[in-house]
Amino acid sequence: MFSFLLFSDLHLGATEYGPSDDENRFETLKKIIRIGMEHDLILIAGDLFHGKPSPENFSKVEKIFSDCEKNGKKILIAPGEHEIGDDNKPYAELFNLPACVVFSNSIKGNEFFFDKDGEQICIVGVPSSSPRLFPIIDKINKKHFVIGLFHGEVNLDQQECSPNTIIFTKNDIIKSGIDFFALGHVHQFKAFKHKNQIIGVYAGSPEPFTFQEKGDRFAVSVIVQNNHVSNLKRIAVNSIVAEECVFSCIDFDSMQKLFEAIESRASKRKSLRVILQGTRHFLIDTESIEKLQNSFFRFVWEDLSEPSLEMLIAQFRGYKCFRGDFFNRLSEELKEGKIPMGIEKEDIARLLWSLMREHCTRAGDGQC
Amino acid sequence: MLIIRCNITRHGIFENKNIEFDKEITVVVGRNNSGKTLLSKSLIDVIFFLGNGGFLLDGKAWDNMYVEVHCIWGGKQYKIVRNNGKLFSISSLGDKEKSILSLDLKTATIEYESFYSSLAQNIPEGQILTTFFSRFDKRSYASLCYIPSAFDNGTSSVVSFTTLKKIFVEDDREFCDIYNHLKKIVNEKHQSCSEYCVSESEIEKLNKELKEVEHRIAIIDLEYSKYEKLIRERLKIENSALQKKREIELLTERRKIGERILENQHRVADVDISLNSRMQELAEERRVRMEIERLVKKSTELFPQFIGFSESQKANLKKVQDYYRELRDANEALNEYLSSMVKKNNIIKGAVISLCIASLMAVVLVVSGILTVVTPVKKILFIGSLLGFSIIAVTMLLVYNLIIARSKKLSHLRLRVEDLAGRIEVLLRENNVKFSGLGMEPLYEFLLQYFEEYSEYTELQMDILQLKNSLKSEKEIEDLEKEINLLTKRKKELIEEIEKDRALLNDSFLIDNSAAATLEYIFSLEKKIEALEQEITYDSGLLSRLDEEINAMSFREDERPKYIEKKKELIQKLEEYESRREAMKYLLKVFEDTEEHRWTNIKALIVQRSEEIFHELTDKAYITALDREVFYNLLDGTVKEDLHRSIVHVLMLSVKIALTDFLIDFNYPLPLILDDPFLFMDEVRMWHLKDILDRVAKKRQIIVFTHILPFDGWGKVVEL
Repeated sequence: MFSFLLFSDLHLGATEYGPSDDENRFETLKKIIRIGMEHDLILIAGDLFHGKPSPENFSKVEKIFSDCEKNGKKILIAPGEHEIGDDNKPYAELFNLPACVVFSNSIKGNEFFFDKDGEQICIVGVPSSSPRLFPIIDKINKKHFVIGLFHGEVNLDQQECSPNTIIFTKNDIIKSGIDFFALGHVHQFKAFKHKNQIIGVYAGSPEPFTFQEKGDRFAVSVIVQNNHVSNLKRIAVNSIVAEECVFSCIDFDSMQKLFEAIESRASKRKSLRVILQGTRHFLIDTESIEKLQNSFFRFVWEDLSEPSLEMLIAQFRGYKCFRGDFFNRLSEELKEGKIPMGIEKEDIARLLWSLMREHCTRAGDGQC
Repeated sequence: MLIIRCNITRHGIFENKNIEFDKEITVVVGRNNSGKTLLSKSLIDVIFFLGNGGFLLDGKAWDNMYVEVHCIWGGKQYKIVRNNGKLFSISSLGDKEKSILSLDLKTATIEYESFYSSLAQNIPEGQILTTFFSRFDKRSYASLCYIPSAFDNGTSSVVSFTTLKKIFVEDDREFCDIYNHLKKIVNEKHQSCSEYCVSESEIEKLNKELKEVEHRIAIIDLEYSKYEKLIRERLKIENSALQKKREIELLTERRKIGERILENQHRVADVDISLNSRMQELAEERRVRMEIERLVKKSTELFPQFIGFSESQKANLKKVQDYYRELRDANEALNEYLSSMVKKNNIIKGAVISLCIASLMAVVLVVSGILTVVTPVKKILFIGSLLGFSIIAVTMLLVYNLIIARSKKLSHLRLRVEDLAGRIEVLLRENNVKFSGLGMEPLYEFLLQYFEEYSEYTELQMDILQLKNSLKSEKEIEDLEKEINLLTKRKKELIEEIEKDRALLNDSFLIDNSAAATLEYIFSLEKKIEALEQEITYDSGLLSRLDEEINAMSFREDERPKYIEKKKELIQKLEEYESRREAMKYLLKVFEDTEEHRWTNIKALIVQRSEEIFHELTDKAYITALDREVFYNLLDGTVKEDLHRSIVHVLMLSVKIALTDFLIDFNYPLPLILDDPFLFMDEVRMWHLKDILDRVAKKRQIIVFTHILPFDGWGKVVEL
């Protein structure tokens, strides 16, 4: 019986504002390695780092991986597109990581053999560097159970794919002679089956990289027995849970209620992105948003709502400038029913809001 | 903005003249023709060089003139240089001088819109410069910063209405951009940059598109009209055929009902027949029973003697009959025998008689002598022989009869007859028939009578038996009655069905409920169906011909709906655009109203403030002579012609000084440059102006150009 733990796309060092940060990513990495110790091999299907590793990040990873080295565990890495330098080669730092075997031959690929309890395993892989073609692996010993470790996209339906990564077509998969594909690049867990056999898996990102990567994130534990995948298990490893909520303003009559709805999800282990939509009949209270920002690990507020005319008036009528006068005037017109027939309040509000979004970057200038 | 220093060179007037300005009040003193006005105007022209519009000084004034102005602007220090008509440059002065902009005035022509845009994009400070200069033109800035001398009739003397409005009314620049944007889109057909705004050109474009689509539809319609006509015709025929088919279906349905009625009518007839037959059977049965009863009664009445005959009696009767037959045979045999005897007897008798008669006649003849007999003895012998012969004959006859009567056969026959008669008598007695006076003849008669009666009786009994035998059993009768009931019920059901079907048909044509009428009705329906089918066949032929014609046409059927759909979409979009456009117009009106309202209010405040300053300057000498209208006119850029130049100058001073508070409030801290403000002023008025300028200097920089030093120790004095 042979077992391995697969993960990918941790993106250490990513600076994009996402639901998690490096601190949590390192926590997650520690967890994964701890779990990996219970396996025969640890496979990383690319994008462990997001760009050239900083010395600080490198030393942190080095320290974590040193445990593997002490325990004689091997870590196999197929570098992802974020780990390829301008010279079209994986960053040198990867090769200096302890216990690691880095697949660096982008033309022929590399092989790694492993025998245990009569199970003969061959792991083949390529980095996600140019020419980014599916590798030609023609020296596979058919006695082995062959695992392909790749960072790329499976394209079964001839869809458009990212140009910076390897594309696997159905034909490639069939002709490859690979028994199991351990894949990275796609951030969501996904398993592939052929004739009721699991033939490949995307472990997905173990820590949410974007707010769309919701819920638990996984590393995948695989057991191979008698040249077959006998068990495949997802193990939740994430430190932060990302969540994205779309709220329709129609469902709320006050900021307080919206606040309560969001607050009910509050957790310091959670990153929440709130998208506000629809016609809004209440004012956005920045204090509440600030409070919410303190209730989550990260909180992103995306207001795509359109305020009603009444709300626009309420928001701007207090301004001591042309804007204030304008909205006071509009308020009077509204009260006195002077808005001409055939013109809907909603149209006016939408028009004003679209113009203000286009022209007003600030609350106003001068005395406003 | 703060002017720190300037350096000016103008051949014959200034030679590399440096002037340092105070941040509050600077008094530049110079005698007449010392270049005060030139310097003051050149400062304005240099500082606001990048603004649109005309300069205060004409081009020639810049010949051989170099002006360098250092000023602080938005917290940063800049150097602005204009070197006669050749060069204009701006540099920022931080730790080291850095060129921001340099224009060769001989070759460069400024297209302001693109110029500002390129300035904003290419130069770090460009955004600030662009924002500032694109806001107002040079004259507007001049009217806010510069008060010309009372002798100066230049246009800069009046206040720019547009500038004031821009500053004081359209203070929220971004929001006013919306206003201006709307104005452009609504009034000037500009293209909108907002997703929701719709320009006139967009509507025009849509209208044009709509017209094109309508035109296309019209062309298609034209092509389509023939096609449509054919299609209409086809549809009409198709509908007609369909109608006919429906009619056929209806008629077929009616026919089916008719047939059902007919079938039921036949069934009713059949049932009737069966029913009648069963009824007759039953009636016959009843009649037979009655006949039997009658016959039994008759038998009882007529032949009571035979009623209740036992079997032995019946056997007796049979025996009587047998005996009777035997008796009759015996009697016949006897009679035959006797008859033969009589016959023989008669023959013998005849022969005897004939013999006797012949003898007698012969005697007569002989006696009478007719017959002559020769001797009388012979005669007597002859006669005696004859008579003797006759007597012998008669005697022989009698003997013969006696012998016969005593013959065995006869007696046997007679015995037999008597025996039989006796037996019959015994049997009759046994059968309670009293019969006396036995004799053959009465017995015969009696028996004949008896047997005739018995025969009648037995015939009657036979008839009764026969009838009884023809009678049905009780079960059969019961079955028959049941059958009759069933048939009656069935008939009723059939009639109901017929009535129901007739009601379904509800056809006045089917008045008669007879099968013949129904059959006739069915025939009429079939006739109609046949006629309709013929019509359908004809229609089908027509349709084929039309289809051929339609298929032969090159017209694309699917184009029109597409255009119609497009037209619908365009109309919908156009309506939506019109609606948005109306909303835009309405918003523009609200903007205009707001602007008007705001301008009226601010103007009133400026006028009020100007009035206060004017009356402070003039010690209220003109409080009754001048009304507010003068100030309003001044703000609108017009000056009352009948006013003295000195008053106009004071009015100008008042208005421009009054603007100070507003400029500061609205974040426009521009310096104020006054050219010979004390001209035409007495000492009192000069002091008033000084006081006012002292107050103003706390808020904005004041640079006064004057031909005399008005007050000792007032401001920073610079001598030209």
